[in-house]
Amino acid sequence: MSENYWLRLKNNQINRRGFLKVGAAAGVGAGALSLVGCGDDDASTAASSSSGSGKPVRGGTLNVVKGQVDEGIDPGLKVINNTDLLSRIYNHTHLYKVSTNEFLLDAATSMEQPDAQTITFKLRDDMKFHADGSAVTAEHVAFSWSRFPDLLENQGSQVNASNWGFIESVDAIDSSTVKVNLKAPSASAPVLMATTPFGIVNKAQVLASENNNVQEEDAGAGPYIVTRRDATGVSLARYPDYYKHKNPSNHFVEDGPYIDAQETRVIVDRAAIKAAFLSGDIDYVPTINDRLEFEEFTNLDFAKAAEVGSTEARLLAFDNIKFTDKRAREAISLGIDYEGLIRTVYAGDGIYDGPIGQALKEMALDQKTLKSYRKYDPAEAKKKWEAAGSPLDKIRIECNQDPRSTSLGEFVAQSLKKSLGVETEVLVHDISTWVARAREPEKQWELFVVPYGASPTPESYSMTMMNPNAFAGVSWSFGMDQPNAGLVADAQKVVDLVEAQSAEVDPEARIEKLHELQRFILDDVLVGINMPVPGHSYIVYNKRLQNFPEDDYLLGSLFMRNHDMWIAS
Amino acid sequence: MQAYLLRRLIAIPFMLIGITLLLFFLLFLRPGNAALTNFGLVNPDQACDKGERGTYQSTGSGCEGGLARLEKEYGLDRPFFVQYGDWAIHAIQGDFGLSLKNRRSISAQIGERLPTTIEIGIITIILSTLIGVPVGIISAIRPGSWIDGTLRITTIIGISVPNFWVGTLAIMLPALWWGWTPLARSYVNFVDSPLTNLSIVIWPALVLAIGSAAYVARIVRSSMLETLYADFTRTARAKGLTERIVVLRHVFRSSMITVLTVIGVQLGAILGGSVIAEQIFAVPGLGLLIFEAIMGIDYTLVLGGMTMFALMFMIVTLAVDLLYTLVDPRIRY
Repeated sequence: MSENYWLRLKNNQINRRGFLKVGAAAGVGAGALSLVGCGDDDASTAASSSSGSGKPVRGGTLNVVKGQVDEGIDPGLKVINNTDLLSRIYNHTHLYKVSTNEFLLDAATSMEQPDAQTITFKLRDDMKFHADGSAVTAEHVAFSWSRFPDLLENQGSQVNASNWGFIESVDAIDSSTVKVNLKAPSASAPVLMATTPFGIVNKAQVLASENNNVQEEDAGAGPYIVTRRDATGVSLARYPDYYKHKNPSNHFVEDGPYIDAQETRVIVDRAAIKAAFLSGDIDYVPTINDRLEFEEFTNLDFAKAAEVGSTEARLLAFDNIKFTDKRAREAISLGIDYEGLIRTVYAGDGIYDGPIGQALKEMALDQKTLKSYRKYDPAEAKKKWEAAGSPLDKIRIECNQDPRSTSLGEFVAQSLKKSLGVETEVLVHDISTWVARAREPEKQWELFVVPYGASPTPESYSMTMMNPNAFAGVSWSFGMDQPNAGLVADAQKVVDLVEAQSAEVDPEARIEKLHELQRFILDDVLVGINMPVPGHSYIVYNKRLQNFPEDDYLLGSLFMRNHDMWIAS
Repeated sequence: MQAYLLRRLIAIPFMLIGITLLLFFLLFLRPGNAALTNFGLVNPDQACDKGERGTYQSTGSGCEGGLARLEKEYGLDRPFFVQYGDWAIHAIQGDFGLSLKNRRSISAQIGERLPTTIEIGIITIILSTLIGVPVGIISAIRPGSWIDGTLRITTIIGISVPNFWVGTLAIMLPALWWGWTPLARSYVNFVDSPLTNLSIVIWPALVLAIGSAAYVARIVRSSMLETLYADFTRTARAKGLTERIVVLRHVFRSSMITVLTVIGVQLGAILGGSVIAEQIFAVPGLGLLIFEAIMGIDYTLVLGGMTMFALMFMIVTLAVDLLYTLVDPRIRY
């Protein structure tokens, strides 16, 4: 057994916190701390069976569905509608399980942090690319992780800088050592480096392509190879030369994934997806929107229907330029009947939410605190509205066609009309128009309903919506380039607090800073109102799937890299 | 005849210019564009500033961001007529350009998807004719009977019920009752496996054919009712011809012009309906391609697909006009 993190700590006679302050100084988040410095752990953890029963068997085909054809297969360029593919055909140095807050090594055999702004990875030596069987080396990793800025600036990448902006440079020290230099200490860096865009691509293949991006399906070294990819879906088969995991865990299996193949079908129509599940053609329903829909599946013999913690978030963003007076923002906040919304829109199953979504439990504020910020007081709302000079005669609420958004928008419109006595209008647009209207310099709305899902780091999750340097600046008029000095100061403070938490080494201290950041936003009613969300999210899958990662399924896309899921005969 | 054909063929490009210009203008009027859709709500300009701070970088001023670059690359920064002119010149040469979303050749994508839609269209026309014409004839020769009443009610329902609803029921009910659905596990081309392919495309075609057949049946019935009491029909009967020959040879043939016109017009509805039917049945035809393109504001792809739809409609209409001369020798062009 090689010397692992805990053995080294013992041998060097330094305590864990001391090590973190020196070695991991300021670098990684709560989860990262458990990994930094860890190396080969010889079969220390057997494959667990969280929901499975019996002995895992190899073989079978996983049948999945997605709503649209992928736009590309370059992990640094396109990340929409292709997770089923990218997570299976590319390697990643490591994986982060949100549910257990743990890191699992994959292509890397170790991950160390010698100083606050450096992370080094040691790679395994038996990885081979699909195309030509050539070895995966540190040079490929450095190349894959260094091209994000170019892809964004010159090829319109969908991977924005909040995913990789912490990287100063990536160097290949030797064939198996990768050194990542951070611009500043970043607690989320190790988590973000485990996400889909950080898949390792074949450098030679990419450079040989016309546009210096991945054009062919065999540019990865992941556990599956592509055997078909067309307008109707994707077929994947086991990669015969995939390496043996020397450090199997409750996720990675020594001989590679249990499941032999994957069939992804493109089905646009929601009813068709349900029909395909009912007839056993697909193994799980990708999203269940509400309890009523969920209950349609609860009595099926072959299906497992499970409730998990809420993973949704819904922001009611201000066009902040129209709400420079804090009293006006407070009036909006006080004018919404949150309990009524939970009762009617969520059929009683709703919880409060804050700037950090409820999926990141430790980082989010507790329900009692959040509830204290969401009081419904129509009289006080009216008073504050008038004190602010009744700034608007009409409030237009922009929603997209997502039924959950429109019902929320409708409720807010009725609530504000009643409490503030203003005219309200709900505007519903298709996604493309909705996006365009969010980004117009002169907004044609006053409130904007934004539904979004969970993400493993606060920066790439709710804070993306609240950060003046991310969405808030461009879409909600909460940037540093606006005329109102007060809001500029608020925006700067938000940026400072975001960066302070990001640079915080100590997990507990980081959580404190995240709470401080959230309280600042909530106290001043900045950016918008984090609306209550459904109390649960729902999962429905075929019982033949064993070890289905219920807890991770809705938290980002990493579950698709699950190797220990298997299919019962 | 030849002069007429020539005139019609010359008119087609001009009609296409009018249609595409209108389409281009309507798409141009929409807020946003494909470059913006690519980024979504994300701020693409974050890459501009090379700031030294941590995870987030400031939006720099005066720098050309990812959005502007992408708009330039796609040519979206040019005036309307320049964009249209550029597109039209290439389209005339059969090059519809590249998709704004996946950067693949639009002509190639249309080439892949078009045969499926044509196949569905042909099967729909065949089914609607096979169902609609006999129903119309039976209804017409037994006017006022219980059969006529039943068929008329049935055809009214067929016309009234939207095909997306019929399609949804067609996939959901078998799944609920028998754990089976007509959705194909994977799509197979006609060339590769004709029978498997037909077992896939028959379902959307059947759904589209319900409304179309009902419409054909009603038109056949009303057209034949007029002819059944015409002087030449009475003469045919007086000659001692059997009722079967009177109906099929004299009455029905005279009604064929109306039927042909209806079927030609129905093709437009079938092409429109294919967008929905292909979406519900997950059949990768041109309709589904256009639907996906509309959702992503991939307007060059929308234009390419719609141009093909318009062209198909014009060709079929022309073919129907020419068929009139075969059905009715009195018609001359």
